Amino acid sequence: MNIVSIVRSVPDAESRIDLDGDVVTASGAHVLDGMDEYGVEQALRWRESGVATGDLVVAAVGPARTEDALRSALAMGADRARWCKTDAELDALSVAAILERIVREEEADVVFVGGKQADWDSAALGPALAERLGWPVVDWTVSITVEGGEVRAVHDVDGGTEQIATPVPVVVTTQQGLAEPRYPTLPNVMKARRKEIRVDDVDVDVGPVRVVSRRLDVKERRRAMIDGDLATQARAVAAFLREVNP
Amino acid sequence: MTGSIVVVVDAPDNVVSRGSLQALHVAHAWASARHMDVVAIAVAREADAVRPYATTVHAVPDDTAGHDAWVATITHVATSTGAAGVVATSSRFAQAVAPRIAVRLGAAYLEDVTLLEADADVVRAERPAQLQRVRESLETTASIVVATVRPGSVPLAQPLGIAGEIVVTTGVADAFGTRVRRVPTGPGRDARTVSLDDAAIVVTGGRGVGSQQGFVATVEPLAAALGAAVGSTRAVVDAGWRPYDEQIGQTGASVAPDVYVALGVSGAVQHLSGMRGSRNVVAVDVDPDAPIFRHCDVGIVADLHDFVPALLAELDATDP
Repeated sequence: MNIVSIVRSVPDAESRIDLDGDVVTASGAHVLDGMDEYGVEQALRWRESGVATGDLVVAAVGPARTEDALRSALAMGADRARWCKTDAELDALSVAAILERIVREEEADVVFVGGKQADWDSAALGPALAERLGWPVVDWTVSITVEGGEVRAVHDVDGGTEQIATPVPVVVTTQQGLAEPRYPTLPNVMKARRKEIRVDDVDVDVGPVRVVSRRLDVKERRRAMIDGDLATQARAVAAFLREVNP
Repeated sequence: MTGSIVVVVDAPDNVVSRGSLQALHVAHAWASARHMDVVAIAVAREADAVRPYATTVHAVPDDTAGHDAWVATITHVATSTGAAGVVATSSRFAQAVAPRIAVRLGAAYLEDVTLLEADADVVRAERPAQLQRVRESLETTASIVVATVRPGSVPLAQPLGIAGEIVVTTGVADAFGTRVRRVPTGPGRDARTVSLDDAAIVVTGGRGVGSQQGFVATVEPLAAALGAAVGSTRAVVDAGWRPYDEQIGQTGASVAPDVYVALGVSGAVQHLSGMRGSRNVVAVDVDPDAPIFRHCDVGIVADLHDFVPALLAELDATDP
């Protein structure tokens, strides 16, 4: 069974986000997206337990900084990487179109991708990629096993969780709750530097949606701190609740 | 009229959900700008409740289940009614099926929008990015646009003063087949009494609640008193005190209730990204330096285990 894990380079969550014109800037580093990381970890565990036999391939679409995210996944233990290097601003549907070709070339049976990446706040990549491939999708997965060509998973749905089963090939979107991602060891970080990253030069279609502008979304809050004893504080909160929710 | 704006509606207990009313609000304005019909899709047992809000209500079998079946059904209705738009509230369900419908229709996808305005040719929208810290303005001239609407960001639809015609739509999902099946022995659990998506008030407990029992003693009674849904932070879910599906934040649900009450929540950026749209925020924490106090309207520095009983007593005393 072959696995492709999709990764994306996003600003570290602790970074301060700012705008330079319409370009987003971050005070800190760009890192491998936290939700994508769960998919890389799950794939590694399947390979270590013998469920997955082929190379574990990580794939990404993105600008120059994406190499760091790919190296992080390789340092966790992935074997090699595929990278469509582009500065084009692409939405999830456009990225899915590029990844479809890579997934087919790699003859993958399972594709892991994070449920929602932190830069574009989009949950669309997994479902859009599955649709292009003609595969089913298991979204918001919190645990997963595979046996006899069938995946069994527990995943979040509106208002609860459910257990489902589906044949491979399948796209699985990952999140916290799956196997906790490992930290790369220093030797593996060194080894990752020599692993193959194949850079594909492809024509990208930016799709029909144009970003016209960006602005920082700053919420003005009253920030009224209520001093006094508990009764005073409780009265103030009760009064506020009546005021805003009559 | 030619063409439609298709809107996916749910109406549990014959009341259209808040999220669906928001999607309908977007659909009404969009259809009006294009001189098109509002075409709703609902399961048959909920279709009657939707009639005041749509020209036509496509009633699909009550047992329509699974993403494959819904993608086939919604795509079929969109194609057969000449849709220029497909709208739904951004539930987990819609976030999974909407991109697939967009791919299948060759449509543009506007995800989790906080605003959508259409004129004769162009659809303009705003949506969040960067863990909700940036707002993007988008536009598209695509002939079909699929959109999901972020809960709590637009008004609720008003009835159109009509009783839409019910069209029974069957056989679509069967013809497509369903590859994903539910395993009935699974560890699924009952839906909440108040769903996070629909809640006007959300009471969220963080690490400061201290334990699973702490939730039962503080968060749950306050939520019950306010008719609120219960939310949790990642730390709480990681600790195993509460289920994953209650989690609010980057890895969990996004909510935008009228009132958000944060109990023992420090206010990490990942958590804030899931509640930034809340109209009013009350924060209670022992640490006066907790970041949550920079993102609240009313802040209380106190031990929540002392404060919640005091607030419950005050609410009891003032209840009419």
